[in-house]
Amino acid sequence: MTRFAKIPAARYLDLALFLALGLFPLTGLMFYTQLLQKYMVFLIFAYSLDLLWGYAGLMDLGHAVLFGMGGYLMALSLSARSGVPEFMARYGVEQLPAWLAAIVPEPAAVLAGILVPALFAGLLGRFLFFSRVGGVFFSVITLALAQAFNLFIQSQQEYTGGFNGIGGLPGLSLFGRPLTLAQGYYLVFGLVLLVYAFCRGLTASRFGLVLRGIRENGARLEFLGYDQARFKTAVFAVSGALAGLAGVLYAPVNGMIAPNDVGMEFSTAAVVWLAIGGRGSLTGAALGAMLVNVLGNALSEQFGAYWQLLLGAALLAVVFFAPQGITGVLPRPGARSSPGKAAGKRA
Amino acid sequence: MREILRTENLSACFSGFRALDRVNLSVAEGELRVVIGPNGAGKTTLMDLITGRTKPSGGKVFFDGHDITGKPPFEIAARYGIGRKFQGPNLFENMTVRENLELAAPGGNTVPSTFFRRGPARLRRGAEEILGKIGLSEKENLLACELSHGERQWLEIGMLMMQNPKMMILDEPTAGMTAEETRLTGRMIRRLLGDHTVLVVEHDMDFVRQVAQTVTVLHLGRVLAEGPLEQIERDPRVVRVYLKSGGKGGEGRA
Repeated sequence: MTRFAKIPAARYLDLALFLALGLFPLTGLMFYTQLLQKYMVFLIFAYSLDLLWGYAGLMDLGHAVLFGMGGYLMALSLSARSGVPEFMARYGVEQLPAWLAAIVPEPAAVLAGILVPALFAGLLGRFLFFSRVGGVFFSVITLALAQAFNLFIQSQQEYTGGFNGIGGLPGLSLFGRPLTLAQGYYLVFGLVLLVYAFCRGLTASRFGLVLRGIRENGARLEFLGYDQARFKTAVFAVSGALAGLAGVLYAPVNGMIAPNDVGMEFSTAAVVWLAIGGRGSLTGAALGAMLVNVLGNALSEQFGAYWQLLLGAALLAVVFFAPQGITGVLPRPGARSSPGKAAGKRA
Repeated sequence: MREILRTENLSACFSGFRALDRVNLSVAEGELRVVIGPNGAGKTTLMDLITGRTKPSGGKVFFDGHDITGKPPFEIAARYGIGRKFQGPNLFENMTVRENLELAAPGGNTVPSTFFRRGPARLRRGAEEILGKIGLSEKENLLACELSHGERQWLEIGMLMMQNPKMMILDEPTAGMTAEETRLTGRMIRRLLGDHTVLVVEHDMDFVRQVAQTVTVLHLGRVLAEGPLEQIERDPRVVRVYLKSGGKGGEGRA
């Protein structure tokens, strides 16, 4: 057997996806290039959730809160570049508050957009995991948090634009220089590759092994000398930083951000991507995010709002026939029995 | 011989029920101690208290000169060096045999020591040797859930070898095994002696006769008798509560 044969099938899927994404702008289809740029931002968000849910088994039903922190901080920074933005002035804000003035420079906004959600996740993890909150309780708490964050954003109208969100944002820029669509596309693409390499490296390291151990049998891990609360908190913070980065990119790429992007709706959307694509391989997260969004776009043109029904049917089909998602049915290197059997046992 | 484990008046209460009542136990370094007793005698509870799974309602546990009473399990495992095999295999089901062993390797138990690190290379090589010892070399890439019951028990013993703690606690290592598997397991455990102190909870008297040096008998949460196996087997109190039905344990296997 050659060394080559040991590479899991999933790696070829990663490669194929990145090739397709890298070459797509050459088609010259501007509209779809712009759309794919947004979906690549979702890809980063999907990787971030996969670290947490797919590897460590922590199903975050409010992951968009972390995404939204990055997104809103960036959106505020962008809209305050030339003084007090209009939506703030409408509420009688005459001067930028100090915290907002501090994140007006681009590097400060990017840094804040990554660090604030990382810190928030780290703190939340410190309180939840060290108090032995886990499993479904973690999901319920994060779900409630998503709703609370959404309401918080809507209630702080003078700083968040309330229900309407913050719109009219300029596109991606780098060091203060606006980027063309192609440049922006490849900036996001480059970041996707970086985040992918980061996640691959992290999950291939012993840290990733421990995360999977937590998912499989966290209590057992303690008797091998691991403090699982520390590992959970660490992965939550890392995942928060990546979700924040996705949010930071989303604001300029999408041109606006609204409460819907940061609440339960978007959180559950990401959970659906992973459920369909498959968890704990990174490949499945990417596949699910791309598939659901690309198909969603195509189908909503055809069927309007009814496409959600089709998505629901697809989700049910996956849960029944491939509980580990699409990548769950791929062959595992060195496996004896069919992967379907192993996957069935896991479920 | 130096004393490595001592419990002083160790007690555990579960909503009024005294599962363990002032148990005093002393185990010497390098000893193989077998704990027997009928179901509900408090054997597993005793192991839970030593490894930190349950907090005692009274009494103390000393290990290697340190008071480890009520410390969390990860600290007892990593810092003081007590390893444990659970009753009925307790594995990482959807991870390969090799990954199960790698997780058990000591020396990489903290976030910084694992973050973007492969873990100690010396110990990863150790996995090969242990795979041979537990007879699973051919199956290192199978998932733990794909193994037979006996193989799963051995994998967990292999994880203990990998962890290489000062003291190993084995809770019914032969439960559900065939006679042949039981004999092999006995040989595996005897080979661990010399390097480790071993504390075994068992029901199977054939197995106990194969491995035991000193036996402690628990009954209703108290130490009923303690001493060399021959003496224990003649003790009328032990025979009455435990050995009466042909040495298989009064209530049979758990």
